[in-house]
Amino acid sequence: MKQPIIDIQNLRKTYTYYKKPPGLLGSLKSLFHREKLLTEAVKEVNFSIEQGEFVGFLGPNGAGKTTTLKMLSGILYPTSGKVNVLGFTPWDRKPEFQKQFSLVMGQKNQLWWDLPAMETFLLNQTIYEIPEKVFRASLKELSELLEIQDILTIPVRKLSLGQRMKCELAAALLHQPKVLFLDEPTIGLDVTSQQNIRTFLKKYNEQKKTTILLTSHYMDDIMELCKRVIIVNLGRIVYDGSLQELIDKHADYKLLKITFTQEMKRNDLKKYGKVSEFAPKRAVLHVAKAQYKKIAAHILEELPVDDIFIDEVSVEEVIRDIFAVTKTGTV
Amino acid sequence: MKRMVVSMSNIFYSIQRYFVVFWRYLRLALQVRLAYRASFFAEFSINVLSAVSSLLFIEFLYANIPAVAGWSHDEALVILASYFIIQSISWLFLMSGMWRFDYMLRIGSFDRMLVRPMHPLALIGFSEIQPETVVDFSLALFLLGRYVFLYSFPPVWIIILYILFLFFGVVILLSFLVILRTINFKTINTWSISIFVQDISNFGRYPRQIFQGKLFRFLAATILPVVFMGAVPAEIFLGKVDWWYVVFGFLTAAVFFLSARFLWNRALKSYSSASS
Repeated sequence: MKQPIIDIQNLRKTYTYYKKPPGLLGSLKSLFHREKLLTEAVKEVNFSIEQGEFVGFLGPNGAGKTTTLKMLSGILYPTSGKVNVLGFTPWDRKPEFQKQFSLVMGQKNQLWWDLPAMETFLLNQTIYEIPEKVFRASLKELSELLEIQDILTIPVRKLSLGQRMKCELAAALLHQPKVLFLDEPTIGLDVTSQQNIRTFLKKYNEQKKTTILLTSHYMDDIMELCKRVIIVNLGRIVYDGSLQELIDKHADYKLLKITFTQEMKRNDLKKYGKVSEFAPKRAVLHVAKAQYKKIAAHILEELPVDDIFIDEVSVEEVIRDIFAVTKTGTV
Repeated sequence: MKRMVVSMSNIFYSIQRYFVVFWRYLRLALQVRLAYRASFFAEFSINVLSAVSSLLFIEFLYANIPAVAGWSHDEALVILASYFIIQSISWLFLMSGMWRFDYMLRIGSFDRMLVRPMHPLALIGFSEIQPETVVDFSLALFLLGRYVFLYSFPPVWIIILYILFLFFGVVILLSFLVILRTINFKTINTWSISIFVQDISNFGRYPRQIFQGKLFRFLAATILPVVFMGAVPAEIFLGKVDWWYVVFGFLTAAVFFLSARFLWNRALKSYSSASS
């Protein structure tokens, strides 16, 4: 059987931290006496990823996404569990492993602030020991795909956030990694720049067959790029599969968005379905998939309807539902 | 035998590789300095001033007394030169980066150094190179040259032993720094460690005979091994080789290096990174 590129078994990570009472007095007290607390950032994570897959890694803040990514890239040692990436255990930090993957964190940059991006690229060439020929080819390809040819010689501090992110990506990909971890690569970018980054990632994944694991809070990123999503919450995996299946399974209702010609009362609508939004002349109803046509017909007949619009549940809502359910512990 | 040849060539290859990367970082640091012209001149002048003030201290001291703990004025300048060489090399490769280590831990830029195919300590040091250390180094060479010009050129074996002990001095100073800096993995925000190391290593510019009492003599050669950061190499250069200290210097360097390596690796295991 073919070995998957990334294989995680029973991964756990527990942090120790200390409780501090609020205020200066509290800080003084905690100098002498403090309460030790343990948090299980990652409780039990198992999954494997095949070569060339583009996987979305979702979860609310503090779910354990970044901690998992940091263990996959060898920054952190786990409390227990096994991880195999490209045949290596990441936290052994073998140079042969480190030369084959890349980690991009949207909130942290590696480019030299006062110098043109090209200088950082040349630095990475020496650090990663990229042969001149490969470097030239890689640079040409990436700068064309990302359309950054013209900004490579401008000091990084003069670039816009979007341009900077493109250069960050180029810097991370010059050594042609086989595995790429992206932690919120589009954070803080405007809509156009986000779209540019997405288009690039999609093309890059298709052309290079690079295995990519992406975390993002923007559902557009996930929907456009990832066939498969892994959702974590409170340190556990709560879903692993295709995005479409997730929607089909959890979204068993449709949305009826109705505008009325005269003001209505909330109680008049309750018999048709769950009222999720209400204004005197406007309402949104959740209606079971099996019956939505019938109910829509009834509403049209019985109420003073100006307009009615039938809509699918958005992915955001599905995900929000899953987070809400898993918080209470039952899936 | 064949395996030994292979591993030796690996070591040489690594050293060469680290120098190539260092050279690249040095060029970047220079470019950043030159991007801010005023800051470049300011940094340079301040370094000259602080080197000159160290020199003036010795001049003023010896204007009042003929010798300190048996060391003449010209000999004391050789200690200062050895101290400057050890300091400037340490600063160039690791100390200025370590100066900001707690900051790197706090904002999480240390994470990046753990995913690159090089030793994280090298990346810490190289990321904050201060090219100005060349000032201290040049002054040190000038002082050594002056002594040789006034007196005599030491024999080759002395030169070799001297260079070896300058190297040991650097190893001891940097290991001392790394050992104390591993405390930062627990405390994160403890900048004063670097200041403490600097204060202690300041003793390196004085003769080892100034330490009074058995306890302090012992401390200065073992737990706080400042005698190897200036005085002992200088004695070697002047031909006053105390073989007892030569053996001891070699052992101290080895013990400090191995402990630093052990403690650093152990600390990395408990490293918990900045928040997500």
